Amino acid sequence: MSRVLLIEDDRETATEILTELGRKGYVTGHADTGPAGLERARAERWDVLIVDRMLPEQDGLAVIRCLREASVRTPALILSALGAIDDRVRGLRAGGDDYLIKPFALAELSARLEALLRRPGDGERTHLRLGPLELDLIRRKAWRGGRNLELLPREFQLLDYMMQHEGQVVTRGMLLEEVWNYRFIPKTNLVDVHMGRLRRKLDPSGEPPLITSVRGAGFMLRAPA
Amino acid sequence: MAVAGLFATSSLLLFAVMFWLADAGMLRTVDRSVLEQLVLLSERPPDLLPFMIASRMDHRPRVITSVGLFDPDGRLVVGDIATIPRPLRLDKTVQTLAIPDAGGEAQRVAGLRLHDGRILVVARSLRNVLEVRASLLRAFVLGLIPTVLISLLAGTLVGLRTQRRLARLHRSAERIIAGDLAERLPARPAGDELDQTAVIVNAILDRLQELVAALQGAGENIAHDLRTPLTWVRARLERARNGPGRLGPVRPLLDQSIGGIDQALAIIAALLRIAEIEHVRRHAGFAEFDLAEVVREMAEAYRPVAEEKDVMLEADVPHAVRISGDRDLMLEAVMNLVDNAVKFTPRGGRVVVALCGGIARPVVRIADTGPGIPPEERRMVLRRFYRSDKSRGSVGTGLGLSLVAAVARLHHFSLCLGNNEPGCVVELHCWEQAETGCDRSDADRDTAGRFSSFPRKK
Repeated sequence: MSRVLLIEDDRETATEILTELGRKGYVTGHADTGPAGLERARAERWDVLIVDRMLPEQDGLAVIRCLREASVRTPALILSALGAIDDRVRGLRAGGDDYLIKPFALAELSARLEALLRRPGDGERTHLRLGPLELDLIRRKAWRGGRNLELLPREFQLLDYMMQHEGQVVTRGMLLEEVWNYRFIPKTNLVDVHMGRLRRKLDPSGEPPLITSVRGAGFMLRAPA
Repeated sequence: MAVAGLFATSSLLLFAVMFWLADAGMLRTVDRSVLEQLVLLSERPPDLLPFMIASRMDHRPRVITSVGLFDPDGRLVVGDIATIPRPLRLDKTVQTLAIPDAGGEAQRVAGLRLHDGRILVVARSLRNVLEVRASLLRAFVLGLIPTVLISLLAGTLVGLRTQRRLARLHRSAERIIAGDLAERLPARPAGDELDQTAVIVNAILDRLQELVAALQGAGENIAHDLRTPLTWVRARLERARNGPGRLGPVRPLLDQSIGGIDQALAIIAALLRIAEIEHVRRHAGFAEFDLAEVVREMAEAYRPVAEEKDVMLEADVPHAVRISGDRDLMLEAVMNLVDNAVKFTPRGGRVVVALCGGIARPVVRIADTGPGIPPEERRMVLRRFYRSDKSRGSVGTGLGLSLVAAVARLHHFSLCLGNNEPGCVVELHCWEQAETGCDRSDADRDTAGRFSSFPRKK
């Protein structure tokens, strides 16, 4: 049962988020000012923080900076109405781990939260394995049940990312940012087309699909039961 | 020039009048002295006359009039006039005549027949008058002609200077008319009428620029304000769709509604993005990067998209080209162009994504075999929301080209649209230029006309 602390001063937004998180099964906490949030973040144990950038008395970035200085490593997702790339960079440099621009879809928030909660293990990874799926990260090759998938470089990157987030919802926004490194408004069509090609290679008809579409959110890779 | 000519003419006129008046005055003086002498002598008792004339002749200093007394036949009795000049009327009329045997020079002469039949003649040399006349003419030549020349020269120079100023004003005005509202007419605040007019016009332009910015800002503010309520509605619709319970026939309606709102949000996001590019100073984010890598990346990214439609996508990016700019923005711009090309090319068509032009003047060139953009529309398509009739009904926000134009403007690059026959050619000229737009009538390098939509100066 993951514990999420939300530091957000806007009533409406806070209610929305807390409701959704509750629905997803998270244990939630809420603070509506910077200092109060900082207090709770330090005092209690949390698995992930959601911090609004514009807070009364102390802005969100300052809160995160304080926490980092106090060696609190809890992953933090920053919410902000400021969408310029410079703002994003500033946010991440202050110690944030992800940055979401308001207004955002709750599904997006949810997916990113999950990604933060389950960070991929550090350390050398040369091979990934999941059910019938096998990835050789050195030679950039992938097999399903022994069959070489003959993936193009971009497709391999895509599959790699999906495997790192196995069992989680991955949004198009996340893919564009992490796989393509595009930090701008996505022409989301692009992701669908590439994903489509990957899926055709990965999940030919007759075999149970490993990648599924999650309606209204994105995609998910899951090992067959 | 006209003023200089007027000045020269009036100077000449002035001189002429002075000359004429002076001359006439001198003549009058001469005549008066002649007549006075004549009348004076004629009123003396006749027997005293010879004596008087004789004594006059010996007078020191010499008198200025010559007098002659003649018997009725015209023979000299006494005096310093040798003979009566032929055409002389003897009724006190003063005439200009030459006295024979007196050097032939012109003299003012008057004559009178006395009561006793003798003839009295008085003459005065015009030599002085002629000398003064000559002096005046000399003065004219020495003084007036240089004056006239100088005034004509000055007039020409001033005229040329004014012409140059007008030419400069004209150029500035053209730039403003073309859309550069940041341009101002050259003016000195304390200058002449031309400068003062320019200062007034500049003030008008300041206001105009303000208003246009406010107008644009209003649009952006509206977009910004719409975002939150739309997102809120979307969240509600999503919750309804994802919620428990059977939805039946409502589900597709919910999906469509969410899709519609997504479209609206995409438009808003694109609009605000363009505004952000236009307003925020992103020169700070400029760095060197490889343009070839950006173009190649986009071509590769869209290859699968093209293949889905049976459109052949060719990439022609021979070697690395380093330029200074914002890599993310250029990535976005090139993506928009490639996306457009692929989107508008029908099945079986062809899109060529190329980087040509060499290291110094690289050109990102994207050609498709779609419907193309007719020449009259090329100005318009870079405006926000413009959808040519040919593209109506296709997916998209209608803001793609506006965004590319904004990125081009920021980098002082040039965006050119042309004809691929069939299809469209879009070229992004990636080097700093003064004007940031052009119009092509065909794929060759003949510029059909100048175009720009609010390019901004540094």
